[in-house]
Amino acid sequence: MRARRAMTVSAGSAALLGVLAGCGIEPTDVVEVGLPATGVKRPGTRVEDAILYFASQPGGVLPLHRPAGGEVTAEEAVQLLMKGPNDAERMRGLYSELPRDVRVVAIATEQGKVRIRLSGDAGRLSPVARQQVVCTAVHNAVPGDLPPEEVTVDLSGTSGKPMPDQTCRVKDIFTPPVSTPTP
Amino acid sequence: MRRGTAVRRPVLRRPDLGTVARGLRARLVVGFLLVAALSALITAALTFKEARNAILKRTQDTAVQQLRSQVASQVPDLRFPPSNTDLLKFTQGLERAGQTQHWFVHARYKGGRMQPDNVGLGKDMDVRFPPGVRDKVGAGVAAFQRIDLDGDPVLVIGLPVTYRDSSEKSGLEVYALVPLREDEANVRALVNAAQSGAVPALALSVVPALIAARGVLRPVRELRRATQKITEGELDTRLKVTGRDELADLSRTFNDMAAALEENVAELRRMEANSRRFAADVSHELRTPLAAMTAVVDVLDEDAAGLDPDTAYAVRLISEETGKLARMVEDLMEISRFDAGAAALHLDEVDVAETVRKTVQARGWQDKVTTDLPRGVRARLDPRRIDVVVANLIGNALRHGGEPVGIAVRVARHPDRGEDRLLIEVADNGPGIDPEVLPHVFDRFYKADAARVRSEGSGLGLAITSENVRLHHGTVMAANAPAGGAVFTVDLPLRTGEEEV
Repeated sequence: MRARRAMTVSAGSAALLGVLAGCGIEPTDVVEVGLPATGVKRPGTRVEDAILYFASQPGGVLPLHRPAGGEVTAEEAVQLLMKGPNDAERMRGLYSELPRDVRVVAIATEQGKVRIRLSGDAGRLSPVARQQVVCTAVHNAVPGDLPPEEVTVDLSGTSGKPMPDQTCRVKDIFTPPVSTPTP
Repeated sequence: MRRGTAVRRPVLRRPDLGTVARGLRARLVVGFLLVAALSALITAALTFKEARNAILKRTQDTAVQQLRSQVASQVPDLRFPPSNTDLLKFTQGLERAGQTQHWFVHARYKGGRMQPDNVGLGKDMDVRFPPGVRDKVGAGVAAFQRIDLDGDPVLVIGLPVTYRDSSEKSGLEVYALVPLREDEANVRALVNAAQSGAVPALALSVVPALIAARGVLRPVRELRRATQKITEGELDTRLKVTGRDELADLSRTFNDMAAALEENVAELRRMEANSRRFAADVSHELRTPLAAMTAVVDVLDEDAAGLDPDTAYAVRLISEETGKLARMVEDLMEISRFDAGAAALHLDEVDVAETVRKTVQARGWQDKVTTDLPRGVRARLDPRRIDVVVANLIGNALRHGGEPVGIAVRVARHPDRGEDRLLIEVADNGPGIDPEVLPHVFDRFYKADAARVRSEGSGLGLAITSENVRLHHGTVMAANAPAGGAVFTVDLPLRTGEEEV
């Protein structure tokens, strides 16, 4: 009787110890978590990305390749830009300086030229926001197949002064410094 | 029940520590504590396990999903096939994007060296990027593994990257090491919370345990008290029965038992009283005719000398037997007085040696009895009753034992109570008493020798002695001396009645 009770008690204690020992984070085996990531451009194929310019700290704009189904026109690219960065892009630290209430009233392209009419006063946009719009417009498909540096943009608003012949100035494009992080 | 019989009282002692530890209360409390501890622990353990798994699963899912979306978002910017510098820039971009995860990203192309190239080869490589994960990634399957890196839990995610719009492997592999420090802290907080929750739960469980113990112990305590009362003679004690549980059943049974006991005892008492009254009545009724008979027989006895020898013999026999009958009736009446509780002590301060000497002289036993009577022993007792006691003992010794009979008086200190006792010893030089008879010598009408049916004694002498001694709150014992012969010892308090005032 006594021996049986002692056995019960020790078995109970052993179980409790086992439970307590399970606290903490234990290593696991390899666990599969689905499909691989995708998005690598096959070398030698034509680029079919939308190239969008977003602001990035500490200032300046960065080009961003967003995968697209086919060739992206300047009109489509500017509309995409207006929608802002997606979650993954936001996590990379990219953001848009364009005010939320600014809409594209009209956009038209001709040989080496893009005309964009925005709601509000285009002159009151920050230089970075203006660069976002201009660079996004010129780096996507514009009739005439000119290099982006030679395409000009006529930017105007529903009020205020129009700003003709804007160009994308590459020197404003921010390049992050290269550093070697240690894990 | 005989009056004056000392009732053995149950001793009301405080239970010692061992009894308390094994008592019902302690056992109930321990039982409750064990159950509470077990349930608290199991609940805490299960909750903890679920919560920990949920925390880790969320972290893992978030990390994998973020890594996948970041790779998908940033890989279009990567020139392909990438140089080591391109890979380095790519991993830096991913690390910057994973600031909320604090992950460290490495990448390699077609089985080349990991970039950034700060990881050792061989063992270090295997530790940081377990072969299991690398094999899965090599086979084109995303995988993760939780490992222990220098004592810290780390999540290793391996993510192969395919070409756009096809499931063909591009050869690019991305690995992220996600430290689980925050999750570990959360898990530790969970453990602490479980612990700090279990201790008050344990402490609280003592309260219901005590309440339950009280509920069980109160009837038990009452039962104990009632049993004690019954033992002390209060046979009308009954328990209040409440509820319908086992303890109530026990109380009910106890009441039944007490009722039966009371009834039986009352019946026995009634029967005993009847028989005593009968004996008293009989002896009383016999006295008057006996007195007349004695008077007539005495007259006849005086004239016996003038009768013819046969008639004279018959007359002397009748006279003798009538005297014996008269003594027996006297003894019977004496016993009846004891039984009726009518015997009273008439205490007096006397010299014990003087009292005993008077007794011996009055019976004319000086020649047959040797006395050892120290002078100056004074005691408070009923001299008439002590006279009866001494006379009965000596008479008994003379009848059944051998001469010379010795009587000795001593004063001794009681070993337990520390009071002075008066000891009167009567010893004879006979063959002693059969050990089987010894316990019965003070019984009424008990004959030591069944063959010797007729004797001079009434058969009540020693019983009357015993009652007289009892009346003095003393005891009388019969024993055999080592040298042979019976020894009767009367043990009386030296000052009867004083300690009771």
